[in-house]
Amino acid sequence: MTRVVSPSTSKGLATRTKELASGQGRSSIGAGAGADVKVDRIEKRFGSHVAVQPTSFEVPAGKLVTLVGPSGSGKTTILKMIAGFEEPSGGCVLISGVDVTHIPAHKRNLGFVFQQYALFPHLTVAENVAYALKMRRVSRAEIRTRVSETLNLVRLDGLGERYPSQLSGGQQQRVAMARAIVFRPPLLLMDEPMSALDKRLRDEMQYEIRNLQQKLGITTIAVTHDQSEALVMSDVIVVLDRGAIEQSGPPQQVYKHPRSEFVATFLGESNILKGTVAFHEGKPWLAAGGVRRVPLVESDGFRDGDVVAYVVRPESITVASEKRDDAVTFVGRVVDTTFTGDAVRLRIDLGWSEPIVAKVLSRHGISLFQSGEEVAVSWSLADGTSIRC
Amino acid sequence: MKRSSLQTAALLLVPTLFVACFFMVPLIYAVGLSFGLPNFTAESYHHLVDSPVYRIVYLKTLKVALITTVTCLLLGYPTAYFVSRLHPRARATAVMLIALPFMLSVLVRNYVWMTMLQDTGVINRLLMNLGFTKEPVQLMYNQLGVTIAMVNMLVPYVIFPVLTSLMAIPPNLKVASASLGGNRLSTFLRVTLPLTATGTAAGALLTFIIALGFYITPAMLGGPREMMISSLIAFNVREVLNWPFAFSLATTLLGSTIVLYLAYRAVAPRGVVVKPI
Repeated sequence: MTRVVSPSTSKGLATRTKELASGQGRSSIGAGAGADVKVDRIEKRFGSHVAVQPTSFEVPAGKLVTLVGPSGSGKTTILKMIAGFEEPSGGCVLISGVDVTHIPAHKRNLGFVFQQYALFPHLTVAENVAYALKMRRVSRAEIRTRVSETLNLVRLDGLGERYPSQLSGGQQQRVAMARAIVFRPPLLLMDEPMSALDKRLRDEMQYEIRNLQQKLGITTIAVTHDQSEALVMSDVIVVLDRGAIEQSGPPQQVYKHPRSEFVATFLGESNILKGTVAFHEGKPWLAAGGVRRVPLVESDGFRDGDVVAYVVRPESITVASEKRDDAVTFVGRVVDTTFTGDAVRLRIDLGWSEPIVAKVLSRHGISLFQSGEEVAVSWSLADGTSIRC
Repeated sequence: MKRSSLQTAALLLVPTLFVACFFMVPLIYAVGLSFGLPNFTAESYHHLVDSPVYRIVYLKTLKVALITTVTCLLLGYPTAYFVSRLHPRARATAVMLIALPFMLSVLVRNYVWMTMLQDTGVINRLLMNLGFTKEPVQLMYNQLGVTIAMVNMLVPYVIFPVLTSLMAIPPNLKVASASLGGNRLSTFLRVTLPLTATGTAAGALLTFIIALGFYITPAMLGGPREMMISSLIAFNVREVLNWPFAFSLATTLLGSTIVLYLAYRAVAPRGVVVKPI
């Protein structure tokens, strides 16, 4: 396996491409089968329409990267170009240092989980999983062992003889996973792998896929429009909008420090306070309605008069009945309260912006605050992020 | 909304009565007649089995039908495959062109083939003018002419069911096969072909059954040695006026068709459930 994935090997490029294509020279399941991936200025145009602007990112071996964005953001097109289903208009894809841009899909040796699974309806579960091995002319005895090993891995033992139409959505999803990993590809690609499942099952599968991915150490690129899925599963999130990367980084970082309003609103709920930068005693402040409101972080390099959006997450906001002095503090009036099960959402009017939303854990489903009540709203400086507009 | 069963019955009553009066009753009468109604006698069938002429004609009919079916499959499947890959608008045109001959009278189509295939016909003149041959090639009044014309008339019966089953294959399955390492040939053999097996078998069966009963084409384009069972039935009905014998031939033909159909049902691939995307 290391022979294939390590770019430092002395083997010629042609040999490695061939190995990559034939799927030889890899170790057994679970032994860190990941390749590193480099997407370099890849782009896709359909006539005059630009689906993907020149885009570059890297995926370290064994990591799970999620491409997340609304429909039309180009995320699926990028995935298809990595898989070889779409020819890029420019740029290249390197897997373990090998340029695969012009290698046809069936020779790339990559696992792909389709949005609607695309299981072969005329083949049993076991035959579906065995498909890639048959294409690689693996011996019958080994096919049997590896199919049952893989079915066991995705907890589908005993269902090998069923047809896909006889399985539930969650089971079909597992078959799709098994089929894509049975030949130990160095890279697994997943296109909206859970969009066909209901929410409860989706939450369950998110953890399961994540566990499996880490157990196998398989480099994975997943595409989703579901921001919570991206946050739960990924080592790195790549947020896309209109064919270009808006921001990328570890989920916590992207969530806490969105670099654009788009990222702030797309990943989770955000309060966005708009204003301009005003300096007071050499320190930058967010001013709205001509009044200094929120102190900004100095190191961000603001200039007087910059238009900024200040982002603070609803769950970072503390609501109390009395003013506290350790953080950014405002007095406001509760507009309304909404019970959401695990929390209560309060909309609070500060008098100088849109009402801001605070998420407060509920006890026994009873809100501690009522509409019309006057409350103190505060958050710590570290929880706010400002974006220059 | 569910229609009440009474309404359904009322709607079905008229067509059911029509089919019963004008098709089922005469058919049963014909079968009865072949057994010498009102008395029961299998004399006609004895005659059929004993005389080698009928056995020869019967086997000839099966042979022509089989050759026609195989040729239709060999021509029809690739055509359907090609049409399925066309742009939707081009596909609509292609489908119309394939269906167009259905709108012509069978007689006209046979005459067209005669002008094409006869000794002084279009093809022979072309061959002679281009110097490929001095003497005209015998293209009709033999099995070749019959097969050419029958294939022309029957090939849409293969193309349409195959096209339908090709179009029903989710396009992602081919991509999935590629992602798993399947090249175009193995994808065709392992995905496309099995998923079109039902449609192909249905088309082949339809072609074979219709070919068994072909009458005008063998009569017009075949020689005396190409007599098929339908011609024999017509001959017995119109010339010899031996109706019981004609009907015993017809009943045998009907019987073998039913046997074939049941055999197909028994070995047909399981209907594959393709979940809608």
